[in-house]
Amino acid sequence: MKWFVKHKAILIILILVILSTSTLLVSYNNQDKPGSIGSISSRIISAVQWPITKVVNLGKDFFGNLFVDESLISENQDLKAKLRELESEIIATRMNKEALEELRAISEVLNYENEQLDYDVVSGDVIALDGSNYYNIFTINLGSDKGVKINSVVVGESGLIGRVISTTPKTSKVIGIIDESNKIGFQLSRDLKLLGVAQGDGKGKLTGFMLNDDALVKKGDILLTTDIGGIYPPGLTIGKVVDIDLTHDSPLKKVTIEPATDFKGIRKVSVLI
Amino acid sequence: MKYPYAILIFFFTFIIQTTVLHNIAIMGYSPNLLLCLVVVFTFLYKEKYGLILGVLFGLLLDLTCGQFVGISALAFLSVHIVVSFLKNFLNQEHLLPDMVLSLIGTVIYYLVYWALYALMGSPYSIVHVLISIAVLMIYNLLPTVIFHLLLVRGIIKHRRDKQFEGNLDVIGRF
Repeated sequence: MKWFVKHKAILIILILVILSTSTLLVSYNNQDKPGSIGSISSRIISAVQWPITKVVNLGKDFFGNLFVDESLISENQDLKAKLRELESEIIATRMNKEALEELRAISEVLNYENEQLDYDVVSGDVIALDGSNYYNIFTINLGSDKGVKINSVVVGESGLIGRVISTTPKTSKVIGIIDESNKIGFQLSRDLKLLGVAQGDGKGKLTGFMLNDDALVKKGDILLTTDIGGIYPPGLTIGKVVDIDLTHDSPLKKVTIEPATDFKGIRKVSVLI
Repeated sequence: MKYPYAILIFFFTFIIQTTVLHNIAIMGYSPNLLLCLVVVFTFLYKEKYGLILGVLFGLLLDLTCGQFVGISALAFLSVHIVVSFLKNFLNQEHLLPDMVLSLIGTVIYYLVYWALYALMGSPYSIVHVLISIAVLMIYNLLPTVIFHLLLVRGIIKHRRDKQFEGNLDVIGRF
């Protein structure tokens, strides 16, 4: 005991190591439940972060548009929104056609009913994002009081962003799909029968395998989510194929996928609830 | 410096890092201000500001921007231990030792971070982390310089006057 009093620094370091390690182990075991201290701390911090983020975003918009004609900006935004709408309609049409054919075939054999899933959408803002690190986890100002739950899917204007990993009443933490060690099922938008599985590659992109080794996948193909895995609803844009590797040891075709979302520049998100 | 002031500095830096800094990222990276602050505080002060506040704000950083709470705290703690050891051989008045410690601190922080995160199942490869470390080592230099120049004035008064009494305790062997 006297030794510890004499070496106070070592005692403090020891206490802090034990505190940090035990917090880490508890956090690892209860990944989706931040606990009461975590919830209260998140609430206090987000109350400070949110107004600052809002002011910064307003400043960015103001200075970014200072020398640009406002009518051109709004026309550009309208055109982008129309393009996204049309792309979604094309995807929905293809999927409905496939689903109908599948349903007809299955119902003839098994009398099977396809359950149509509907989602409500809540939109919010990113209030905290640490750009000093290589991973992509950020906090949004939507929490359990808005209906956000663990594994709720988060999307942006370009496509799939990730899923919610923990919630408090007012905020939620989101992990990007490129950070995930979880696998995502995908299908090609031009041929929904071509399926594959992808996950983050640790370099800001995703890598995946086609389930069919003679699948005709090519560079530039847009990939959508499927209902394999149960987390992500089908039809959300994941990204596009930028490289196809036919030379590695496995017989399955390996693809490199550029995500549709720019993870370092996210501001607005929507959560499917 | 008293603890309330140190806490305010760390809190302000934490808010700036999580809300503002990612907007001025280059190549997707922005400086780690909290890490720079831990290095500078540990280097300049005898008190344990860098250790205690580094761990505390490391926990807060993980709470808002990390998957597991505690990794940043342990990484900051590692940086503090190494900087505390090395500062005994360096001149606190000089900026250059602080810059060197910032480089060393960046490497230690991200390697410890990667190792702990990898234990928890992170998909990131060490190669990707090493590339990001190379970039971040350069980015962290500027905040370190700024923090050092702002804080050293409060510790070592009349730095150019070697005969000033107050400096005799502080000036390290070199």
